[in-house]
Amino acid sequence: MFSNNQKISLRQTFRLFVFDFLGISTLVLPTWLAGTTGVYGFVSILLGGVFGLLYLAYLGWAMNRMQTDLFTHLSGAPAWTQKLLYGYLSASCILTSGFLAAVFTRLVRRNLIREESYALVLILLLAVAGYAVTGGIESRARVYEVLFWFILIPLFLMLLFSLKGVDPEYFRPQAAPGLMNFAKGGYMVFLCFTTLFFILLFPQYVKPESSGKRLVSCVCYAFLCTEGILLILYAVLLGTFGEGALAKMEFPAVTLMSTVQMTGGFLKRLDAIMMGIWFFTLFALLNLNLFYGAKMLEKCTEIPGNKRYAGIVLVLAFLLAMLFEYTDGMTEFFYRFFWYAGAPLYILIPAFAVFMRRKKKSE
Amino acid sequence: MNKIRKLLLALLVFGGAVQLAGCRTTELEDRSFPMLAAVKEDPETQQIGFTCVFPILRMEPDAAEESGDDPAAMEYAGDFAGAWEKYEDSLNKIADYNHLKVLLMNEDFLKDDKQYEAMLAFLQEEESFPRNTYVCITDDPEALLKAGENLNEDLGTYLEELLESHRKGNEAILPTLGDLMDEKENRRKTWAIPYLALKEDTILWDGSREK
Repeated sequence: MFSNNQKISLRQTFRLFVFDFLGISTLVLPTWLAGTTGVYGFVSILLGGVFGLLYLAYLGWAMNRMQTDLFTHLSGAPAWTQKLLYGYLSASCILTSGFLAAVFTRLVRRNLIREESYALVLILLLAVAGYAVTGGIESRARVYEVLFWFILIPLFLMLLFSLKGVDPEYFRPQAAPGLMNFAKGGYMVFLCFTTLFFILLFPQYVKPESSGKRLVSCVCYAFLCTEGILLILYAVLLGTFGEGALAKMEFPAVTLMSTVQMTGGFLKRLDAIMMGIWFFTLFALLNLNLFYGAKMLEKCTEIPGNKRYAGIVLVLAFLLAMLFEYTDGMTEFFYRFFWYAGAPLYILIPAFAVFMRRKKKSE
Repeated sequence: MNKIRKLLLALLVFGGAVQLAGCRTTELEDRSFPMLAAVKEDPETQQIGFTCVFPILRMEPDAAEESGDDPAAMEYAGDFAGAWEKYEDSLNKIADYNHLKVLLMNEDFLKDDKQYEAMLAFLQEEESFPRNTYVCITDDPEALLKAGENLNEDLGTYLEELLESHRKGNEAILPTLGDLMDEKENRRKTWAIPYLALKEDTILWDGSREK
């Protein structure tokens, strides 16, 4: 029924990227933006969108130069460059996996099983994620392809129902934030879209006729689609809670889903059903980071053994997620790392990769 | 053979993980489900009192006798957090507020901004009470609780129905605990909190108080 060639279609790629973008951005961005630019958060979302599109155009340029995926391209680069890049990217993916696993576990415990052991939820979550990672990108893409409308239709319905609680008073402009705050807000939005970087690794997973410009425009649609959802979600959250309250909430989108009252009231614990949105979107992003963390580690050590590396990455992600939960300042450290090093390096690495290969060729 | 080894490994991991479960989980029979919470500031001592009303089954004479506690008795402390903690300690079951319908306050408590905001901040942090719990004001919460004992259902459910049926006729907006928590941060709107009065043992919605 299905081919098993580790290649995915453009439709699957689109849906995969929408899932990757939606999870963390809808969870943390509204709170960050409300605290930085408040009512003007829309401007930051649009600005972040511009940054993202520029970044995507730049990645398209890099892909065009490389004419292949990053792994194949770098195979001709000096060994130290490969070790350095793969080592860093692997560490970054593992750190992000730890953070995402911690957020995921916190979310499940907070909204579904409050008194359950953190370690137990984390282990089961990582065990399922590990199974999905070893299944390869094709099996994950198939699952997300099927789930796509099952996730998005309820999300749109809930946003529609929650319009009833939107108060126009909360959109009344307050004192405008400074230019720096707008720039900060835009950069925050961009941080949530740095997953775009992984498009450089995608040409090997799509059919040859679908790579290049078609792949970039497919990811561009996914990006614009997520931007649109973010704008609508931010408007609903701002109109429902107000910027002051929104800036202090942990996961406002989840809180919104638990307070929306549906006409007829025939569905009880709808919030638990709606948790599915973040369950699958966060899971997609977690899987992506675990998958590439293992791949990069394998490339870095140059010893083959996909499953062995998946195991190592899972154990490290588990330990990091425990640190995120039980160590003060770990989340702050992660944000700072991503703000000052993670995102800038995601910008520099494609140019560096193109440059290193050119240098090697000229030598 | 390889498959069997994998299955055994998966079972081992799962079995090990399951050992982490259960220690902190509270069984259903060890829980109680408050339907209404009442907060009061004593005008003389400025002490804050807190109590809850449980479903009607919980209030049956046999059950009360068996459990040996009086769920309607208010516990007092210097602030809401203290009173809440004291009340929880006085119960012999763990209170699960997920089914809470109404939060009842007296006017003195509502007027005391410091105590009122401290309660909202505490509840925001604890996340024990549902955000969509209705909020009401009354003169004497204890008198209202007493009147509620004669009802066929618990006072929380009764008040929820009373408020919702009244709203349908008047298109009134019923403030919830979540609305008040948000307003503590936003400071943009004034909410009209329903005021409940007792007239000859009958509970009536008698206007509102602004906050």
